This record gives sequence, C-alpha cells and structure tokens, in this order.
Amino acid sequence: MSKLLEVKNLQTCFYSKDKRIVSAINDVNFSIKKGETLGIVGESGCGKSVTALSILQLIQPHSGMITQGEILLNGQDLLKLNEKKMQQIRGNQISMIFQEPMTSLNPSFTIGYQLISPIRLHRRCSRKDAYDYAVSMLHMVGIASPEQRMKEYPHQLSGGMRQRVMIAMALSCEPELLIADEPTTALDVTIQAQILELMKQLQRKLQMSIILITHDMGVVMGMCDNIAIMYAGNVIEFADKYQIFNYPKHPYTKGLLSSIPSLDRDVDVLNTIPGIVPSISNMPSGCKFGPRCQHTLPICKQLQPKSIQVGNDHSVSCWLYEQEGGES
Amino acid sequence: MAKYIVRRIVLSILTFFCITIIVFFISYLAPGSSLDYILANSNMSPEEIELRASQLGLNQPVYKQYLTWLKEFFKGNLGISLREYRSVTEMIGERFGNTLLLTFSSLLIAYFIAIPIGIHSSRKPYSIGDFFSATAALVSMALPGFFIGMFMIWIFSAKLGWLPMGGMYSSSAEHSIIDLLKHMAMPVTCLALQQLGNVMRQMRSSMLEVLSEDYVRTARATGLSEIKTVYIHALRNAMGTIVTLFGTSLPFLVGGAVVTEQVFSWPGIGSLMVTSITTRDYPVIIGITVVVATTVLLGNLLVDITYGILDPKVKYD
Repeated sequence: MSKLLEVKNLQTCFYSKDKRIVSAINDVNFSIKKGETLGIVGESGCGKSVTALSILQLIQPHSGMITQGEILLNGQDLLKLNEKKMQQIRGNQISMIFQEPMTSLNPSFTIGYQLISPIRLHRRCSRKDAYDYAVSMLHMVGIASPEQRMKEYPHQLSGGMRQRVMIAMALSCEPELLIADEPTTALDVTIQAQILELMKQLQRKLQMSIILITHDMGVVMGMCDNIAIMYAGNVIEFADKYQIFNYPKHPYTKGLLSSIPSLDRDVDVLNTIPGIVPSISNMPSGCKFGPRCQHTLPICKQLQPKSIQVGNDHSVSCWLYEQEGGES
Repeated sequence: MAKYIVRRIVLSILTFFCITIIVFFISYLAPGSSLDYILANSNMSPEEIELRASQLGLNQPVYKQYLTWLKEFFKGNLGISLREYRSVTEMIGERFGNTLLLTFSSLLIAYFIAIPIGIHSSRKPYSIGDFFSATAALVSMALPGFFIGMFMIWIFSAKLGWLPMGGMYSSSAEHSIIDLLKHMAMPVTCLALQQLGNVMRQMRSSMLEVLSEDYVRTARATGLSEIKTVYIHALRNAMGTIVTLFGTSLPFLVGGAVVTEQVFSWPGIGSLMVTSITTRDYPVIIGITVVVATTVLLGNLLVDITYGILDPKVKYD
C-alpha cells in the first residue's frame, strides 16, 4: 500500500508573550498508509493537537507558524500550496473532528445549515441534493429522525449526538484522511465506545485513513494499526501497535505502558512517571525526556537523540539504542 | 414567545407610567416657574398672568394637573408651549423628522465604517492596523462633540468656505436635496465621529472573543474561506454586542444630539430641548422627555426580540 500522508521534519513555532519564538513541535516524522489508522499518543501539551492543526494549516498566522518540514499528501507538499488550494483540501480530502463537541458547532446556525454548507462548498450540487445527502449522512452516523435534527440548533442536542454530527460533517465529502483530535475525551464511556465503533465502521465503508489523537492507551489498542508516541514536541517512538505494546523501546513508552492500571493485579499505588512535562519555553538541553529518565547516559544531557531504526518499521529516538540501531 | 412579548409589553406600560409621573413631578418641583420667566420678560400685568395661569390650569393642585395632562396625552395632545402658545405635539412633530434624519444617517455611517474596522482589528490583534484603529477610537471617544463641531466649522466654513455653517436649508436658495446634503455633511460627520470609536472597540472585543471559539476553527476546517468564516460564522455570534449597542443609542436617535444640534443650529429635537430649558417651557420639556422615553421602551423591546432571533438559546419564559 502506498503512503497517503507523510510528515517530514515538521516544526511549528509560536510567538510567546515576550515576543520570543518557541517551537511547539520539532522534527516530527510519521507516515500513514491508505485505510490505516495511526494513533498519536502523548501527555497533554506534548504537541499532538499542534501536529494535527499543522497538517491542515489551521495555525493562526498571528499566533504561530510552520517553520520547517514537508507534509506530503499523495506526494504533493501541502506546505507549498496557497491558501485557496488548501481550502479545497480542508474538509474535502482531509477532515478533522475536534475534542470538544459541545463547543465545536456554531450555536447560531442549524445543524442542517452546518452540514449542507461544506457539501455545497466541495461538491457541485443543488440545495435539494445537498439536503438529501446531509440527511443520509445523519442517518449513517446513527442519528434518529434526521429530518427533525436538521432543523435544530446545537444546544438542543446531547454531547454524543453533537459528536455524531461533527463526524457526519467531517465525512460528508468522503475524505481520504480523517484527523480525530481526542474525539471521545469529552464524552462518557458508553458513548465513547459507540463513537469509536462508528468511526471504525465508517472507515471500512469509505476506505479512509484515520489519525487518532488520544492519550487513552485503551482506545489506541482497540483502534490503531500504528502508533506514534510524542513527548515534548517530538515523535520519540513509532511502530505498529504490537511492537509498541509488546516490545516498547523508549523509556517514556515503557513508563506510559506501565502506568496503565491492570485489573488482574491488586496495587495500592498506581505507577507513574516521575516529574512533569517541561514547558515549551523552558526545554532541557539534550534529550527532552532526560530529566525524568531512569537510564540517563552522559550524552543524554548534551545532544538530542536522532530517530533510529530498531526493527522493521520501528523507530525510536533514544541514545540507549544508538549502538543497536547502527548494527541493524 | 407570544407570552413573553405580552409580559414585556405590560411591563413597558407600567414603566411608562412611572416615567411620566417622575418627569411631571420633577418639573413641578424645579425652582422657578415658567410664569416667573414671563413676568420678568414681558410687560404683562400680574392680573393678566394670573388669568393666563388659570387658563393653562397652572393654579390647580399638581395631581390634577398630571391627570389632565395624562388624559390629553392619550388624545395625542402634549399640552401647550408656554413660550410659543402652540401645541407641543405639533412642535415636536415638525422637528422629529429633522432629528431622525440627522441621527439615523450618522448612526448608519458610524456602524458602516466601524464594524469592518473592528472586525479587521480583531483578526490581526496587536498589529499596526489594530494599533492605529485603537488610537483613532481613543481620539474619537475623547474629543467632545462641540469641539469637533466648531473645529469643522472653522475649517470647512470659515477658512475654506465649502460648507454652510449651520441650519438645514439656505434661506436664499430653494429647498433641494443637494442643499440639504451640504447642510447635513458637517453635523452628520461630527456625530458619526463621536460614535465611531465606541462601536469599533466593542466590535473588536466581541469579535476577538468569538474568533477564538472552537466552532470558528471547525468552520475553517471544513474548507470555508477566511472571509466567509469571519463574516458568516463569527459575525453572527458577535452581533449581539452590536444589537445592544444599537439599543443603547436609541435615546440619542430620538432625543437628538443636543450639543451638536445646537452647534450647527440644526432645527431638531435637541435644540428645541435646549431652548425650552432656558425659557423654562415645562410642557415642551415634559413632552420631549416622554416621547424619548416611550421610544426607548419600544426600542428595548425590539432589541430583546432581536436577541432571540440571533441567539436561538435565548428562552422567552
């Protein structure tokens, strides 16, 4: 299978309050194939959402910008496109659903208006056809009495329903890639499962790829093919999910996995990774995980590790594997 | 909705009565009656004045005066001016149009200019353009109307001689639209300048808030152009502030710009108010106040209904 999207050396910077430029993500690399699901996992503030917004170039020019890298969609570099071309890609080839279904729909417009508008934007069709199509989309995402819902405003719908509407909106132009930024974080557990199941179903139906951003390891296990672990603006480990779960390499990944509580073992204190994520304006030198790592080598404090291959499609950025990587 | 409107109307009527009572009694309590003014300024004898007072019902107890006034009000009669001996309704009526023409066109111009500028500054906060618009807004809000007015008269009438100094029509020429526009140019600009700043800043802050909302990002993510995102998706949500602002400028719309009308001797309600106050023409003062108050009540009712249209979340009961 060919690569649908490839992100190379992506760096996005923001302007801080004192007019300094700080990078939120640095040298981010990953790729996703057609029909595949990639999970991007990491703690809050590690740059997951910034990565997603960078792909769609939704970083507001007055707050920050993409300073380096390439984002290749079917081999075409999105960063070289002008705004008008980019608008044709947004919502059409690449769609996005957001974390907050409660606030992601415009409170002043009906569901119908918000569904029909992107359809009419990207597909040349009559108002009537767009309406019928929107109704069928609502039906597809499992909303009962869609005609009625079309006339309603977002505040008349529950959180789960709104997220379904968001999904219907995002999928209405049959995108090749869906970016889901913590789509279920704000929903309760039963609705979470329903929404994820729905996404999986629709993925099979529409043959699309999904980038699933989450910090929920359980969700990742159920949904994803490949996983990118992010820490402080870097992808520190990238592999398929079996590799990640069975043979994690990076000390941070190991820490993450060991902090998943288990049902079989009875423990008093849950496992955690000591320390906190460094803020983007105050990054440690060398490996950014260094201060929290239990296996630090002298070099960790001086140089940031490069990404190295440690197996078939398994890459990790850690000095501990520099030797092995050289061999394989 | 219907229930809510009925309740609002009933409340408005109650408020209206309160206003008339307060206005009427305050002017009764004010020191110096209009009769003193006539006495000091004319050569009428005290007996003649006594006669006049009884004709006008001024020697009756105040509550009776009020009830008479109220009865007449519902017949559309606001009393008789003590200065001109003419019907107050008529006097207000002939100036009402002039004032509306002046204030409405200045509001229109102010909103027309201020809204796009406000939106622009909110899209690029702390940019050079934003800085300039903030400075302009500050100047607009800080400069008093009479100063702008007199400054404009000094430049455009006295120095350059382009525009007439005041009034509504030239006395020599026939009443033409061109002549009217020439006379309107300065007072309208003067009034618009005074309001620009406030509208601009309000629009900016309201828009700035809306632009950081999640749903604006959603609109962008569907591939909508920036212009459509801002002017359709965001503006609709930011409009509430502007509706409120418009509601608060209603008294100005009807009551006229007292100072500006005076500076440009515009024959409107505002200048009538000033003359009436200086001559203690209480029936006219009461009349104007009540008319303005009534329009404000109606205006607020309209504003509340507009909220409901703009924001579907507003519940009416």
